[in-house]
Amino acid sequence: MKSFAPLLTLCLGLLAAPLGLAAEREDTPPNRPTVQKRFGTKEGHVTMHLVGVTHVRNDLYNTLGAGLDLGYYFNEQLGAELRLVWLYTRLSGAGDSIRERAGLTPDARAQNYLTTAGLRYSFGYGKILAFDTFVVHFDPQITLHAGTAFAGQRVLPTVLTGLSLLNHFKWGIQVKLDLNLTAQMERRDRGWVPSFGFAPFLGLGWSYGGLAAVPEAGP
Amino acid sequence: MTNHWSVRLLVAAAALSTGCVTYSHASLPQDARFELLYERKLAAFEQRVAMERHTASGDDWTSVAEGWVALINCRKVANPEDLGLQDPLARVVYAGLVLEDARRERMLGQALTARTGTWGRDTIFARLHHPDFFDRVADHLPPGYIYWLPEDESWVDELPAPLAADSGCDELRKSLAESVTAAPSDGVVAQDWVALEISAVEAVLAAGRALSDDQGGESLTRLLWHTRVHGAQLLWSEARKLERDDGADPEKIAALHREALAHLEAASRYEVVELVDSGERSRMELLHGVLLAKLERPSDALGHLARAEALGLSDDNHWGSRYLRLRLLMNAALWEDAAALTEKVPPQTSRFFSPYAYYGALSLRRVGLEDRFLALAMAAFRDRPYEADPFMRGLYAEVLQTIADYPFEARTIELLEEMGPRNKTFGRVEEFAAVSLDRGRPENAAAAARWLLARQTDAREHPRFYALLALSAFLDDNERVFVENVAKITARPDKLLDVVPQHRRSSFFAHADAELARALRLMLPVMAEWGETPRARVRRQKWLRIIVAQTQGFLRETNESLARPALVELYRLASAMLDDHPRGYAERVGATDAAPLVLGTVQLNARQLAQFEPPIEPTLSPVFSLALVPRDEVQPANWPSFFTEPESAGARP
Repeated sequence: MKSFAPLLTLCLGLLAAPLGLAAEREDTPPNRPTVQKRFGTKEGHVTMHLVGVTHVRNDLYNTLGAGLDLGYYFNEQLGAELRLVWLYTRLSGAGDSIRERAGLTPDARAQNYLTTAGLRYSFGYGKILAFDTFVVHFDPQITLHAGTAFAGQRVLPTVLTGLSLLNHFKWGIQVKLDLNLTAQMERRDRGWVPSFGFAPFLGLGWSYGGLAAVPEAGP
Repeated sequence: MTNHWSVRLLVAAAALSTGCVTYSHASLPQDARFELLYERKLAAFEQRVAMERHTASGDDWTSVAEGWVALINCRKVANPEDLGLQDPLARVVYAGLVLEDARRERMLGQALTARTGTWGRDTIFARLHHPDFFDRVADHLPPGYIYWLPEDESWVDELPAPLAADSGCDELRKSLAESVTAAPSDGVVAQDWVALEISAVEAVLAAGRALSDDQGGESLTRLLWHTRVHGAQLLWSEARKLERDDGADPEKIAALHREALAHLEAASRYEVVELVDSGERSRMELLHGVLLAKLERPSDALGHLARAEALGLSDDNHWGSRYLRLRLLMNAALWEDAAALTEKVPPQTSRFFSPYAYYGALSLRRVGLEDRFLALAMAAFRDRPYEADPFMRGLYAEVLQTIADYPFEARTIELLEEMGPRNKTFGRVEEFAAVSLDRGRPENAAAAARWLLARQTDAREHPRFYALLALSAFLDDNERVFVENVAKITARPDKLLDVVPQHRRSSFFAHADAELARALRLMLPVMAEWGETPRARVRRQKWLRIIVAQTQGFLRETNESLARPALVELYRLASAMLDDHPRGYAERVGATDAAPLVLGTVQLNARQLAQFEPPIEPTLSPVFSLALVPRDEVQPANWPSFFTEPESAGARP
């Protein structure tokens, strides 16, 4: 494992790949820094990810979703993103039981769609050596989205923020894992009610910006 | 359904795994490496070299590159034997770096020992050590690159980062200063430097011999020529140091000269007319000629010296070469060739002016060109007084000897007047008279003495002139005139005796009396040179009687004379030499000491001027560069010896 930022340790715990370090030692003195061309540069790149999501709000609903993220990176650190997610929300088992017994349904409505716009900030760069054979390069990120969720005729202002791990593969392929905390406001019968949740996104996508086949590892 | 999703996930994972990045060695940038060095981008060049080592893709030229980095940063260039270089061309180039390293250490060490302000002038070090000459700042990383901090483990897909190329020249200076301080006087440290450098010269040459004809080309030819010349200059310099040491072994000095000569003779076999400027070649020819002259090969030396002058030399070198040629030609008795060199003489400010004028004039006299001889001498006296140094005195004596062969007339007086300050003309005329006597021209001496008597108003000088007249008469075998003038030397006019008190007379007439003694004493060796023919013996006996009579008479009449002891001795000496004088017989019978041996006149000859000759020490500029800068996009034959045009500023020690 090799990372540029200490906070990365938390994110790296999510990846279970065994860590291997280079056993070979070349003639570079131990006190000499090294350089490497970034694998999967982002500056000026357009990205597109198909994402899957689940939204956990403790609201007696189960929500699964799928959608599309479209992004653009201004530089290696900062990018913007648009998100459109279709949500399939159904009452959970507990909600079903209450409805059958008491004829009551939750005050919150099932959400159908989520659209947001946001920013992604890469605060580091890291790489992991897996099985002594593969190297996975990744960007640890902080994300912030703001937008609207639609629940029937209700419109819910929504904010998502969290940490992300953007992994780079060959041919511009990217896999990302966003761990977002959500905050929403819903106008229910008793008035505006805030609600908070957790929404992990898993995305598979592609970055386009002048593809490099297999980028050189050196300057 | 679950099975379908499982299959789909497996396919997706397999597809994704093909996109994984394999862990592989970083690859080197494709841009040329030595071009970075040539463009003086030192930090980038050093990084490139470190990259080659990191990726294990280095070759012999990587070692050469490391050698250059060490040389530039004043760090020790590694021993080539530890590197195992295989490429012959790389071995030569690397050996040049080792030589430059040794040269720097010697030059800096000598500068620190001598506490001189600058060193390395006209060499690559004047530029290498300039803080701004190389780009030592590490480049900023271009966008898209990540900079990893140092770690103990090393990743093969990374490359060494560029580092600021820090110079170690301050540390080198300090360490050398410490070694100089620790051993300032025994010279051992200095000898080590020189020995290392000579060894490095041999290493370059040995590596050069291993090259085939088609390797290297012109740049190697130039490098090897410069190495030879540098070796010769170094050995010459060491020989000069030994020559200044009175206790040095002459055979050791000669060995150094022979070794230096061997280098130059080898260098002369290279075709370098198009490769080396004429100034360097001329200095090499000059040194070559000087060494040949030292090793007593004058005919070979003359050729090299003439070539050096034709190529062009600095003023001091030019006149040094020309003077050496003059001396060699004279030593070989090639008077006409030597006389031809007098068409131009050094300027008055040159240290060769006096000896050149002297020997040049001698050569003109030897070939009978007396007009040119006098013209050269008179021109020399206008620029420098004849009393200035032994050579001018010698030239002056030669001129007097020449004009003494001609009658004393207006032209003679004119020449004597022009030979120096007007207020010393009388002295020169007197010296002319003395030389005339010496050359057996008493009539000239007498004429000169009469001229002096007529013009010198100071009566105290007259006894000398009467002495000249007396000696002239002696050489003319004219007793009457001799006696007349002797009487005038020691004349005691009554008018003077009336005014000079008794107790003052001895000192008053001391000068005149001494002149009498001197004149009589001068007669004895002349008489000894007449030989032992009967006529000569008769003549000698006659004049001995005259001397005896004159001294006897003077001694009887002047008890107070300060010259009495000298005249008594003369009287006894002359008496002892008489065949029939009783005293002489008694002196001979009773004498326990041998009779004094009167030798011929001792004359100063040209050989004794040798100790005053200016040393022929050519002013030799150091070889600018003994290294080659490899280039990737240029054939080895065109590799330069440095990065840019040199400047003359010296680096401070």
